[in-house]
Amino acid sequence: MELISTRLKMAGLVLLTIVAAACSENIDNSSGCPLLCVDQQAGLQTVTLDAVTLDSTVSALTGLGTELSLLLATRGDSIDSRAIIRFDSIPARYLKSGDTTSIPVTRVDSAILNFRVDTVGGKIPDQVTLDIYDVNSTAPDTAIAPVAALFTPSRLIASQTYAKADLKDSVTFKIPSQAILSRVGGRLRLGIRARANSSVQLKIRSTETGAIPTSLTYRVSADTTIAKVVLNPFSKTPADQSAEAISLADYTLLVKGTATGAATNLNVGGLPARRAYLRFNVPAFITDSVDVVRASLVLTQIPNNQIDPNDTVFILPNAVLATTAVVDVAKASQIVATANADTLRAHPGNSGQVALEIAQVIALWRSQVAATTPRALVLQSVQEGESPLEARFYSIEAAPALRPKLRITYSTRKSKGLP
Amino acid sequence: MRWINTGFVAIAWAMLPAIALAQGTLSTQGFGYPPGQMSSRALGTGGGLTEFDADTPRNPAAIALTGEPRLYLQYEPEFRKFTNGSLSANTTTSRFPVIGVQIPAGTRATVGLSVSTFLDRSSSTKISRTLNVAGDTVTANEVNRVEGAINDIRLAVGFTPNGKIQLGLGGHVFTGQNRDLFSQTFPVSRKFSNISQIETLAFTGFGVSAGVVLRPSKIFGIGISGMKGAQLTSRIGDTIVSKASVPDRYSAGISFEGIPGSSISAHISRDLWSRMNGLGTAGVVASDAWDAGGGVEAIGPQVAARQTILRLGARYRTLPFEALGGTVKELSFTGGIGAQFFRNRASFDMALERSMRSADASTLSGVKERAYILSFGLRVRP
Repeated sequence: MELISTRLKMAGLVLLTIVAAACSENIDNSSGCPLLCVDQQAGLQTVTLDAVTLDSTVSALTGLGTELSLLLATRGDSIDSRAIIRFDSIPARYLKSGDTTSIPVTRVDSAILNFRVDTVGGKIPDQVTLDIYDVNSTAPDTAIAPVAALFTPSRLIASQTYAKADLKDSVTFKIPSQAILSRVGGRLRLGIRARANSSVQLKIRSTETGAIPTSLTYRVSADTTIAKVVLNPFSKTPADQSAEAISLADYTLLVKGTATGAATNLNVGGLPARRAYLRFNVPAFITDSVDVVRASLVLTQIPNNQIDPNDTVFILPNAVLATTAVVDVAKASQIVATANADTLRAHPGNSGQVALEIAQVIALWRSQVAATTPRALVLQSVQEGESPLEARFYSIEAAPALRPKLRITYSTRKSKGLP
Repeated sequence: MRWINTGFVAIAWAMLPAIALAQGTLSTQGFGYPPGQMSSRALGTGGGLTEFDADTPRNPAAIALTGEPRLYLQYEPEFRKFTNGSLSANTTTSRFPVIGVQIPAGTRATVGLSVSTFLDRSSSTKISRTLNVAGDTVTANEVNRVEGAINDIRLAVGFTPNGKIQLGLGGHVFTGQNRDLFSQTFPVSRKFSNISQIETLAFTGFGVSAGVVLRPSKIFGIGISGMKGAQLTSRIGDTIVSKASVPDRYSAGISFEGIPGSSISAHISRDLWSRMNGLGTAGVVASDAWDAGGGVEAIGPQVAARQTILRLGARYRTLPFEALGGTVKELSFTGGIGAQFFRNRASFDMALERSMRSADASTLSGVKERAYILSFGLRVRP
């Protein structure tokens, strides 16, 4: 009896194990494929459409000072780009530790301008000299020529020459004490220009990057227990537009930009920056009825050998969110959303067809009503406003074979659920 | 542009092929595998008791002698091994194929409501395919998973005017869903978007059944039943996708209880599955099928002071849906055990079925399917 009971328990245990194992269903069986799965095939169909109904090159209109880097470039006749950094509040007094009475600043030493250099895409000779000028003036904030005119020998504060190897990451520039003392209680606006025996091009991180901003440090006393003064770029003007003032704390002063392509082309990048706006009429079945596997904007590139033809310009397609209420395409080109799409790597000097992958954009267009939000893309350079590179493409005004096209690959599978 | 749009729509829809979903196995072709609508007890006898067993929702007359309220629940996992040449795959499918409740209506009649799995389509396949996507050759992984079943909800009345005859009528509603999940994934890249399609196919069908159980003597029983199917439709949302008919069924069974403590029974049925043709795509062919089996049920040894009942049987049938033009055959050997608990107010039946399936198609000569089906039936009389 005892034996039977033990066997029963064992049998029960085995049974329970089997039942428990059966609870986790596994119905995957691919061994019968393709023999018994021949009709599972999901075919793909590719169509190429002349779907662009409107295209245009527009100004980036990003606003002075909104760039992530300040471009310093002196490239002969082609580009002259300088940086302006404003310190509009130089303290006139300081406090000793534990003291309640402030003391006037009468002495400055160890003044250093700290900034971060970005050499990606730069042209840096073995020796580069940075000249810093006093560009304090009453010229309008967004004026270019009056500020550029201030880069004169009489306003030169200091020059410093760097070896190529030293121009990376964090860079320091010694500022003469007198330059600061003369602005105590007022504002110090510095203009930076790079020069070398040959073309030079590099970038300084702007305050818009948010990380480790440019700073001006100096001591106001020989007493080292008194903390250094640390100033970050700051602009008091325009006084009535605080957002613009923040941008103008540091900005690129583009004295001479690149020549852009013909107005009939789609020009992306360059200085000042340009974007391409393309509006599409996409057949309804593409957005409503089929699953799009791949969508490519096929463009035919026009060689631009003006500057660095073999460098790479990264072009990003952004989806336009502007509704039909925005009739100006230049303004519509500012109302965009990043579509997490592909980045086109184009060499300005190249020609021929290139494809920009925009399947993610098609997915976004599904949620848009075309009648109220035109299906449009803006092509813009990732280095917009920071690089002179400009890629040029044929627009819909070109011969049919050269026009922008939309190439869509979609699944022809449309299940009704029936076996 | 409007005419282009319209044109493209027309062309696009014309290009969309009717997709027929294959399930990659022999038994789940078409709308799926029919578990048989048998209780664990009937299954243990190779289906021999199908016409006589009150928990088997086939012959409505079988419920006439229930006598008191009862609830029945059945769990039935299937462990399947599919072999295709040198390839093989093991799958596990869990089913609750029969649930029923019966309530006596007076002393001579019983009303029963049951839900049973009519066709189980649960299956999944994964394949990799090399595709040319606008000039780029890539490997896409496709998963095709179908879940769900067509179920038979039966409301039946059984009546016994005397101890020698039982009569029954049943009304059937066939309902359920097949959820088709298809995904096609491409290498991670911003070039490609993965595809995910989910479609739910719902079924509605009707039928009526009638049956009789005759007991001309104390040792001999005859059961005859039939079901007449009406329209069966498939829908996606409110749209009817296809129409056909619920299969008719004619079946008969005999039982012999001349040997004390045992019952020998046999059963045969003809299922007119071809009436379902048209419900699926043209590639899905349902063929009329025979289902025959028999077995013995006998009093077994006492285990742990409980009287056991042992069952043994064999069954042969053809499955409803052809595989590559060939009829799928299934031969099963079954065995089972049953016992009562809680002062005989609950009984538990267990059956083990070993099934061997093959198809009459030359292209499937290297394909075979073997399965173990465990069936657990719990009957409670509150």
